[in-house]
Amino acid sequence: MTIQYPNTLDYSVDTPEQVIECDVVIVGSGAGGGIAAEVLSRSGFKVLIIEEGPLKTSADFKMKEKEAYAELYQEVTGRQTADKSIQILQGRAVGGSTTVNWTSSFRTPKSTLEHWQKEHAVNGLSSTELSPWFDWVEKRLNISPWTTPPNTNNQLLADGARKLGWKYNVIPRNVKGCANLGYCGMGCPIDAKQSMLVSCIPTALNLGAKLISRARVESLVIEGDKTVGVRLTSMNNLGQIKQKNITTVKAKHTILSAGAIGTPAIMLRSQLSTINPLIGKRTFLHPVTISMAEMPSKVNAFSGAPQSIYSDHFLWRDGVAGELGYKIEVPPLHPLLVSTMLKRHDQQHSEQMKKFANNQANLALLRDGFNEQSIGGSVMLDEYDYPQLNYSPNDMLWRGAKHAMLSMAEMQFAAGAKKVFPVHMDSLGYTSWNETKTAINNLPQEILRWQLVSAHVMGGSAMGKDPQESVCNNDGAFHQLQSLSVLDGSLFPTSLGVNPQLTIYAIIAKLSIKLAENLGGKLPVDLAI
Amino acid sequence: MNRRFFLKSVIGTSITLLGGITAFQWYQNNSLEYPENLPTKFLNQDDQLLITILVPVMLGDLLHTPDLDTSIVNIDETIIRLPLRTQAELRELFDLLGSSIGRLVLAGVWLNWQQAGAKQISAFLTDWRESNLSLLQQAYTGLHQLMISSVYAEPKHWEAIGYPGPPKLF
Ligand SMILES: Cc1cc2nc3c(=O)[nH]c(=O)nc-3n(C[C@H](O)[C@H](O)[C@H](O)COP(=O)(O)OP(=O)(O)OC[C@H]3O[C@@H](n4cnc5c(N)ncnc54)[C@H](O)[C@@H]3O)c2cc1C
Ligand code: SF4
Repeated sequence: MTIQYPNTLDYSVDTPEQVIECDVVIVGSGAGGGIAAEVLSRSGFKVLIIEEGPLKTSADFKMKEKEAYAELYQEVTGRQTADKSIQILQGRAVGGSTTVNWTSSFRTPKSTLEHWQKEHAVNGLSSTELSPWFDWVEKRLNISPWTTPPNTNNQLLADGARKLGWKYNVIPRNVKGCANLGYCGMGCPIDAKQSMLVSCIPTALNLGAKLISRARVESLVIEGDKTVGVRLTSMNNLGQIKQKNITTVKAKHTILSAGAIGTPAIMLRSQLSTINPLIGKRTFLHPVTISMAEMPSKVNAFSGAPQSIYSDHFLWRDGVAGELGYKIEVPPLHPLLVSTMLKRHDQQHSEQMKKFANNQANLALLRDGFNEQSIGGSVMLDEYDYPQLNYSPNDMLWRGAKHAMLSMAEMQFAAGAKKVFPVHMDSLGYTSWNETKTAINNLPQEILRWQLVSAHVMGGSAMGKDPQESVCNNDGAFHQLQSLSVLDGSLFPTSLGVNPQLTIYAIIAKLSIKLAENLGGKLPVDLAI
Repeated sequence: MNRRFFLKSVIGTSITLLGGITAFQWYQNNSLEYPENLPTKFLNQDDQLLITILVPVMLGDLLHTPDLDTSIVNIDETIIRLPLRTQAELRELFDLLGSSIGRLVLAGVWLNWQQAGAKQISAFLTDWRESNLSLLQQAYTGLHQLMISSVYAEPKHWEAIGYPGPPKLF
C-alpha cells in the first residue's frame, strides 16, 4: 500500500500564498516536528508544517550516495563546525534526520535523566514519568531488538567485545518488514524504516494538516510579548533562497522543531538573543571518533542493517560527570563516505580503497556536556544569516577520543583484524595491537588531523526551570514570549549517551500532549496517558 | 593581514618549494590549452583546468581513468548546493589556485604533462597536507573532499574496490 501525502505544496515550484492562517505552525518535520504534528492534528488542531528541504519519498530513494547526499542532507553532508574540526551529518528533507538515520532506538539512560533533574532543574522527565511515552512510541514505530543475525561489520564488534570480556548487546530498531538492505542513510527504498516520513507526517496530512516543503522559516512574527506566526522564504531545488519573506503565516501557536542548529538559528534571526543570551549555547554533538580495520576476508559493510550491535562498556567509565564516556557502535561503509574519510591522495589513497570491501569500522560517540569542562558549542549567524556552529575540541575531548580509539583498535585486533587504521591524518596502518597502542598514544591531538564527525546534534535551546539558566521551561515553552514552543532535540541540556531519536520522540510526545491540553484540544484515547 | 592576503602569501611560499617554474618560463610557454569548457554554474574555465589536473593525481592508481568531465559536473553540482559562505570560501581558493601564482605552477606541469608533472603535483598536495598552517590543511581537505567524492560517486569505479552497487529491488 503506497503512502499518501495529501495537502502538500512545494515552494520551489508552486506559487506561494501571501498570508496563511492556522492554529499551530510547526517548523521542521523531523523527529520532534513529526511527533508534534501527529499529536496536534489528532487533537483537532489545524496544523501547518513548514520544511526547508524537499518532499522525497521511497519512490525517489535509489540507494545512491551522490543523489541522497545532495537531496536529503544539510550542505550535501559537508556541514562543519566553524574551525572545520567536526563534520556534521544532519537531514534536510521531509522527515528531517529520521529520513536518513540508521534506525537505532534506545531509551534515555536513567543516569542522564537524573543528571538533568539534579544539575539542570529539569522536571517531569524521570525514567518513570517517561516510561509510558517510551511504550507508546515503541508501539507506534514498531521498535524492538533486531532479531536477524547482524551483518559482518556488527558481528565483528560483538566478536571483539566478547573476546575481551566487554559488555555488548543487540540494538532495537524502528522497522517493519526490513529487507536488511543497509541503505537507511540514503532513505529506505521500501518504507520499512518507520521514520517520520512514513509514519507521523502522513498521519497528520491525512487528518488535514498542510505541509509546505522547500520553505525556510526566516524569523518569527512577534507582537509585544507574543509570537503570532512566522515569515517564510521560498527555496529553489538546489536549496538556495528563491524569494525572501514571501509568505506570512499567522498562527495561534508556533512550534520550532527545526532541530539543533536550525531552531536556535530562527531565534537568533528573530533577535531573541537580546532577551535570552543562552540561545544557541551548549550545543552538543556526541563527537565521534572512528577506527577502521582491514579484515582477512570480506566484510561488505555496506550491506545489512547498518547498526545492530553496540557496547556500553565504557559509557560511564568515570561516572556520570567525570571523563567523557562513550558508546561503541559501527557505521555503515559506502564508497563515497569512505573515500572522503581517507584523507590521503595519490597511491596511498587508491591502495587503501582497493581494500574497501574488507574494511570494518568501529565508532565511538562521546557523551559531551556532563562535566563543567564539556560546555559544547554555540550557534552563530554568518554574514548571510545562515547558521554556523562554533565548537572547539578541548583537552577533555581529546582524552576521551584517545581512550575510545584505543578501545576500538583493541577490539578490532581481538576480532581478527590484519591491520588497524585509526581515522586520523597522521596514522598509517598498524599490524599489531602493541604498535597501534604506541601510535595512538602519539597521534597529535589537533583539530583537522584527528578527524571527528557527528550525526547527533542536540541542545542550544536548553529546557529548565530557571529563565536565567535555560531557554525554555519544562514544557518546552520559550521563557520570555507567549505562544512559542521548542519541540525537538535542541531542548536537551546535555547530550544523552545514546542515539537521540527515541528520546526525542518520547519527550516530544509528552510535551505535545501537554501543549494540546493547554490549547484546549481533544486528546485521542491512546494519548491520554 | 586579511584572509585573502594571507592565503596568497602562504600559497606563494608553498609554491616556491616546488622550484623550477618561474614567471619567465610561464610567459615563454604561454600556449596553455584549456580543456573544452563545460557549461558549469560555479566553476569557471580556470577552475575546470585545475580540476582536470588535480583529480588524476588525487585519486592515484584507478582501474579506470576518471571521466574528468563527470568530475567537473559533480563538483559544480555539489558546490552550488553549499551555503553561500562556503561558496565564497571556495571561490577564493579556486581563484588563488587558478590565477596568477597558481597558474604559473599548474601551467608548467600542464604543458609538460607526464610522470614528472604528476609527481610534482602530488608533492605539492603533500606539502599542503603536512603544512603547519591550518589554512593550507583546510585547503587540502576541502579540495580532497570535492575531488575524491566526484570520482567515487560514479558506478564505474565501484567494481575495482569490490563494491557491487546497490542491490536490485524485486
Ligand atoms: C546519518 C544519520 C544517522 C543517524 N542515526 C541515528 C540512529 O540510528 N538512531 C538515532 O536515535 N538517531 C540517529 N540519528 C540522529 C537523529 O535522527 C536525530 O537526532 C533526530 O532526527 C533529530 O530530531 P530533530 O527533530 O531535533 O531534528 P531533525 O530530525 O534534524 O529535523 C529538523 C528539520 O528541520 C528542518 N529545518 C531546519 N531549519 C529550518 C527552517 N528554518 N525552516 C524550515 N525547516 C527547517 C530541517 O531541514 C530538518 O528536516 C542519525 C542522524 C543522521 C544524520
Ligand atoms: S536496512 Fe531495512 S530499514 Fe534500512 S534501508 Fe534497508 S530495508 Fe530500509
